[in-house]
Amino acid sequence: MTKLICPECSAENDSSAEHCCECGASLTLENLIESSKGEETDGDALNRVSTAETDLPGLLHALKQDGDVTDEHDGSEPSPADDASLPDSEDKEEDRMLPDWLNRIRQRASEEADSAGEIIQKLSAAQENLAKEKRESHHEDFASWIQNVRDEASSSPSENQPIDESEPEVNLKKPVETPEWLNKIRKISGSAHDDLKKESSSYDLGGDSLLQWLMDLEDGKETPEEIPKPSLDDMDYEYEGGEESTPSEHEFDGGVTQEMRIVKKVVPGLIVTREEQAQADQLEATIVDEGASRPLRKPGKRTSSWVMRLFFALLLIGSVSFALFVGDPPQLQERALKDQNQDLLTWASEISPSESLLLIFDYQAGYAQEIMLIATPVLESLVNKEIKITILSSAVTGKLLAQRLLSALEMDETAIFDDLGYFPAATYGAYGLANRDQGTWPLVDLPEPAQKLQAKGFDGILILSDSDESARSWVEQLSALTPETPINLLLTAQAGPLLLPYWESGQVTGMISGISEAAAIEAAGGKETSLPSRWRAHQTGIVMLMIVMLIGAFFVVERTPSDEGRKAS
Amino acid sequence: MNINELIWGAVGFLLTVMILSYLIGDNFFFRLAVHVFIGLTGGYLAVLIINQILIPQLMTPLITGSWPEKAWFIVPVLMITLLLLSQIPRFKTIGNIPLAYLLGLTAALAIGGAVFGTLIPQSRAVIAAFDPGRWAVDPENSWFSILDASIMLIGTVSTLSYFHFGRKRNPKNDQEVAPPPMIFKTLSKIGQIFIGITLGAVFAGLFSTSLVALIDRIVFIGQFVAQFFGGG
Repeated sequence: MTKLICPECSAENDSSAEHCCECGASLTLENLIESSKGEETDGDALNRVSTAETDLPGLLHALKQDGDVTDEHDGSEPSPADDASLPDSEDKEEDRMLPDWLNRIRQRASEEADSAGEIIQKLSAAQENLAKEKRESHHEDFASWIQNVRDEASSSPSENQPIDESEPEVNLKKPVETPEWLNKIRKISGSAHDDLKKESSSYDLGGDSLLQWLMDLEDGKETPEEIPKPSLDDMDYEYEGGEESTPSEHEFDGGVTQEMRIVKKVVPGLIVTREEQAQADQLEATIVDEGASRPLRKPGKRTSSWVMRLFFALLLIGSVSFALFVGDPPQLQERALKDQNQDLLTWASEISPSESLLLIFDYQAGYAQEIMLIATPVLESLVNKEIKITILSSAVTGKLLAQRLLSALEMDETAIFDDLGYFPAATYGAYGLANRDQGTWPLVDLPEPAQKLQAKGFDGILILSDSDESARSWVEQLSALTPETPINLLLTAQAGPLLLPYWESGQVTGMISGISEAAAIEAAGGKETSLPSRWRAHQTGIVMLMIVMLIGAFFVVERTPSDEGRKAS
Repeated sequence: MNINELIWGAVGFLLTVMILSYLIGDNFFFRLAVHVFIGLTGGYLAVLIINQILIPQLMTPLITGSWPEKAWFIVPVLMITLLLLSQIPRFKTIGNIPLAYLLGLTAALAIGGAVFGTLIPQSRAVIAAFDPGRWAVDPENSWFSILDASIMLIGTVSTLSYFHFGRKRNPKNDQEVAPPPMIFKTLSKIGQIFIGITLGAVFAGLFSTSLVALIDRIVFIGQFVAQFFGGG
């Protein structure tokens, strides 16, 4: 027999009564609902448990919100350290599955605060927020909750017995005290609870009790409902300041209860500006492009290229070696000297013994042999005139190369050399050399090394260079500031063509460039050196290179990607 | 051949062969030789700067020089100090002062040298080529001198026309608003010929220089092998 309990005086009334027999209070449904709303806070735990069996996600959320649940099951609950490590382990697993380039980008983004890194950092911050939410709400994880319940069940002596409805009330200690009227109801109207239990059991399609149903679920007999998890889509939701419950009423045979509807916890929205969005799109495009498949070059072509390259190189070396070492040195054919060569030789022959000369060494060791072949006849005619020669080096190895070149000359011991040392930058050295006496302010009491550097103190300047740029620096500065000082050039073949206009304009007195002009000068001088055999080898090598270039022009060995693109276009 | 020549000759021989091994592609021996070369160059440069610049041109005058001589080194010492301090993150910005000074000085020297050492003299040379007085010096080759000057003028003008980028462009599609005048198109085509000839001459010179270096290495290897096996 169902009876109604007056919410005002807790007196028993017949189920059909509209007013309390003791205090006369109204016992209509609306009044009872209003009364139960007023008691919601105190009866919150009971309501959750009683209605949970009808809504599994609601049950899980309700239990999660009840902090005492975890306190009661320390033995089975994961520790806070485990809680913290849970998302970390997931992150590590995720990191392992990511490609290396993405990990590098993330690592770089975490280290550098550039534009792309800023976006990554924001995304990382959003992910960390999500991870933090996961840590805070890991009890929502169904598996861990199941584990708690299983451990609890295994620790209970009545493991396999049907569990009474009141058991959750015992195990789940409530933080608030059960209201007195509710205890009275439970004592007096146990039959009403039995009816409620029957109703609940019939409503619950899962089994005899919640725990049994969960056990069956763990064993695979039941299919759980999926618990919604926060995702990036949730960020679009409006922030509601945490969770809140919206009560809705259900009536079970005279008893009134409430169904808790748990609102998803909303993650704060990520505000991205248009510029950041564009950068993110660009980054995404880059990532996609990096992962895109690209056609691989066929190894067969590479092998054939390697073989062809080696073949032609050995052919060139063999032919040059043959020209060098086989047969007697040829007799150089005498031919007319070029004007710039003749001008330099004339200047060298006209310089008097009392004059001074500045030698600038501005070439690398790799070109030392060519410079030596060119400069030897000129320098031998100068050093034997007892003129004062000052040496200056603007190349790293210039000082050593100067010693090597001068030691190879056939000269008297009366030659006077003064070494100014190494000047790191040709432009500064040239300007300093040329502008020493041109300054507006008189520079007095200069240090001794600076005093030696005076262009006006030299009657001629001879530059030995392998680079058109550094030689041009010297010529530009010296010819502009000291045009009366004759400048002469001894150059490699690669620097000669670009400096020839300076001779034609009169800025340079004379010049010799390349082994061909050196061979012509030696042929005119008639002195026997090692140059003829080298000149023959040089000619042979030039012919071989021309043949190889012609072969390469007709038979393309390997197409480059630009060739392929040109062909496609 | 004494032991000293033998050791250094063998080292040179091995390094030469290791560099030439690049003919079969990039390999360990080539990289080893390159690393040895870079390391030696760096070490030598450091020693050279200390011995040739810092000690004789900075330290010695500072120690032994007179007070007026020492006064000259206030600025370089200050610059060096600022550069060294810039290596400390807290004082990183003050390193910009000597760098700005060097950059400005280099730009000024380069521009001054280019204008007064190249542009003006070369322009003057082109103009002087049309001086009738020069043609009269050698009457037999006067027509050749005129032809030479004409080619020089055409080459100069056409090459400058090829590098003429002064026309307006539409910012929307980066295309020229109006097509270039026909004269510019023609001169540009002629300029390409002159540029091609110039680059061909530079390429031939580069080839020639590289070949001389190769010949030098082959001669060295041949001499070393001959001395090692034949005693010559």
